[in-house]
Amino acid sequence: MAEVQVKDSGGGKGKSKVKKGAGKPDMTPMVDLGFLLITFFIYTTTFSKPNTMVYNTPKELPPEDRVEQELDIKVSNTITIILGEDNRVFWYQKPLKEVTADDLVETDYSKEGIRTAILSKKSKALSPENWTVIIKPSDESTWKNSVDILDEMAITESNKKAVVELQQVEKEAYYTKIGKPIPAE
Amino acid sequence: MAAVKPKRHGPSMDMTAMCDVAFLLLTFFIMASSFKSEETVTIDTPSSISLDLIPETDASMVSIDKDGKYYFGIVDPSQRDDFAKILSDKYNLGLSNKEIVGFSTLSEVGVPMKQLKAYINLTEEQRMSYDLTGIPLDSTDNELVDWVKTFGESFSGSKITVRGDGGTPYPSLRNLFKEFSAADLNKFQLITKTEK
Repeated sequence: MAEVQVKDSGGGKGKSKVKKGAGKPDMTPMVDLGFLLITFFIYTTTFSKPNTMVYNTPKELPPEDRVEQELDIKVSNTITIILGEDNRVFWYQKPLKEVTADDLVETDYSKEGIRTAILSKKSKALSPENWTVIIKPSDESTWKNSVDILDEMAITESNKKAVVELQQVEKEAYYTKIGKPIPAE
Repeated sequence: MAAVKPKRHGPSMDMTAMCDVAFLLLTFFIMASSFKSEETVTIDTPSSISLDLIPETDASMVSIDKDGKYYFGIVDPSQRDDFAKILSDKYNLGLSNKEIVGFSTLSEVGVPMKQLKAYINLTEEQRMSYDLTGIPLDSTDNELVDWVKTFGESFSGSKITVRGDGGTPYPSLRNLFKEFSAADLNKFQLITKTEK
């Protein structure tokens, strides 16, 4: 029992009686241990679960069903982000066909980097409801880069996003920018 | 003679009830928590701000390691044996009941179906040193799609979760999404860590 040990003065004289065991074990350490384990189990069960992020890919239509859609996406409503090698990231806001190495702006994955770029372009968008982010991961980028950018989409509330392949024009611009030859297909 | 002193007790509390409650809760949490199955491969997922938790049940898990190898797993361990039975019947793998139980202890499978039977029969140590080839997924052999589709047929409404290592090069993921989308599987949940 949780008891403060009171020294039995025993009255001074006389034989000191051997105290009989009261039959009550001290349960304090046991309770301590019990609660420690409970804390441990609660902690591990709730926090070991990983998070998930919803990611849907567009349905692939058979070639005969494909309709050439004339998408009226104004350049000012979009930003294209190219995920490069070694955690480098580039963005541009230009019609696809006119992109050159000089149009690519290099930034990083930090809050001041790509997020600021997205937000400033988003605030200047002519029709914010059509604001679209086009994500183009290069072959050298890693999965972490893609997830980071998808995360930025959630942070900047850019709900219209597309993950697409680099086009030849962009490849030329990108590889010129990083000073490497375009890898063969 | 002095008067009889009343026996002094220190402040005490009966801890029996508290102890009972503590151990009852402890038992509950031990029972309720599911133990982590032995991990076949270590995957360090990227972090995100997303707060959605992974579905507890009806979810298959496709893992991609740093080398771009694909693994298949089932989140809920209690669904693994049913799945193994169905898979075995569908593709004539001839798994015995014991092997089906063995399958349910694996959190991920990194071998093609043809090697599955042999892989299950290995001891834990042998598995550690086993040269995992990953489940094939390319235009000539998209076996991973068969695994996921079989799971989807076994448990309707099941989700596909994708657990990629942060260092995985993007082309392996592109290939995954391309092959899955060709098989009409378009909805994914990407597994991430909580952002710190």
